[in-house]
Amino acid sequence: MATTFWWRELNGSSGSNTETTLTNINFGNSNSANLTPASYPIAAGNNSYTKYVIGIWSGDFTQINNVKFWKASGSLVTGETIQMTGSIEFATPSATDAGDPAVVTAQPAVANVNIPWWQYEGATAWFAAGPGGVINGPGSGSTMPMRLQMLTTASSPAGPVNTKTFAITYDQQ
Amino acid sequence: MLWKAIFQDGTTICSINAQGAEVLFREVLNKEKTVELLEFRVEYLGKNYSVSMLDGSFTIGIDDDAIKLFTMEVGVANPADFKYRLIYYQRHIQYFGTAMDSVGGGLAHIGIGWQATDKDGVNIKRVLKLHPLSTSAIFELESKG
Repeated sequence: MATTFWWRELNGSSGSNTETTLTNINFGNSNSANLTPASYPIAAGNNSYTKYVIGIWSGDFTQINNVKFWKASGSLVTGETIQMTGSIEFATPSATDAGDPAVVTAQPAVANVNIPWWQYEGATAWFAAGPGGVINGPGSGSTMPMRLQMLTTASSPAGPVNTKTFAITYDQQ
Repeated sequence: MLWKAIFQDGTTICSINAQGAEVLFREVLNKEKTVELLEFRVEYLGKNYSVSMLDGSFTIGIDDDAIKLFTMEVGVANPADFKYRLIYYQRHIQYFGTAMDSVGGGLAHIGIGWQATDKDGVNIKRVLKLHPLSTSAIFELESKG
C-alpha cells in the first residue's frame, strides 16, 4: 500500500502548541522549528531546547507498529550527547536537561517509539484508533512522537557539530 | 507481492480484488473475527509461501516443488491445542538526511507466520522472513519461545 511519511515539530507551550513541517532538525537555543543554528547557538555547557517531533504516515494501510529509531551515522564531538525518548506527551519545550537516555547508535532489538492510541489525520484533526492500533478508516494516518535534545559540556568545542543521519524501521500492514 | 487469505467457509480475500483494486489487510482481520482463517499465502518474487493456521506449518513453493516445514520443537506444550494467530507485515527501513528527507532504505523484508500461547502462558512465535533479492538470504525463519 502506498504511504507518505513526513516529519513535524511541536512548539509553543503545552495546551496551545503549534505544528510545523520539518525541513531540518537543527538543535538550538530556541523553542522553534527549522531553526538556523548560527542564530540560536548553544553555548558550551548548555543544552538545546527539547524538540518534540512526530513522524507521520498517511495513506491507505491497516497498521504501523514496531517502530525503532536510532542514529545511523555522524560522530559526536567532545561533550556532546543527543538524548531521545519515544514515550512522551507534549510539554512546553525547555533547555533543562530532560534526563532522557542517549539515542542508540544501532538498530535496537525492540521498538523504542510508541505508536499512541491517537492518530493523525490532516493538519489538526486527531482521532482514536481501534484495538491494537488498527486504523479502521481509509485515508488516515499514524504517528510516532519523540522528544530529542542535545546536551553539551564546558569542554565541547566551538563551532558546528557533525551532521547526523537518523534511521527508522517500522512494520506496515 | 500478493497475498491471499483462505477461510473455513471456503471464501478468500486477495490483496487485489476482481476489479483490480487493492484490498487492505484489515479486511482479513475483520473477517477473522467471525470466520476461522485456515491459511495465509504470499506470492513474492515468483515464489509462493504459505502458513497454515491449523497446524502452524509453512509451505514454500519453488517452481513446481513445495517444501513443507513444521517448526514446532520438542518440548512445546500441547501444540494441538494452540490457537494460532496470524502474523503478517512488511518491514521498511528509512534513513533521513539533513533536510529530513529520505536518503535511503526500502523494504527490509516481508514477514508471515504465527504466534500462540502455550498452556504455561509462554508466547511462541514463528515468522518466515522473505528478503528482497539484494540481501544474502531469500528467506529465514525466526523462532521465539
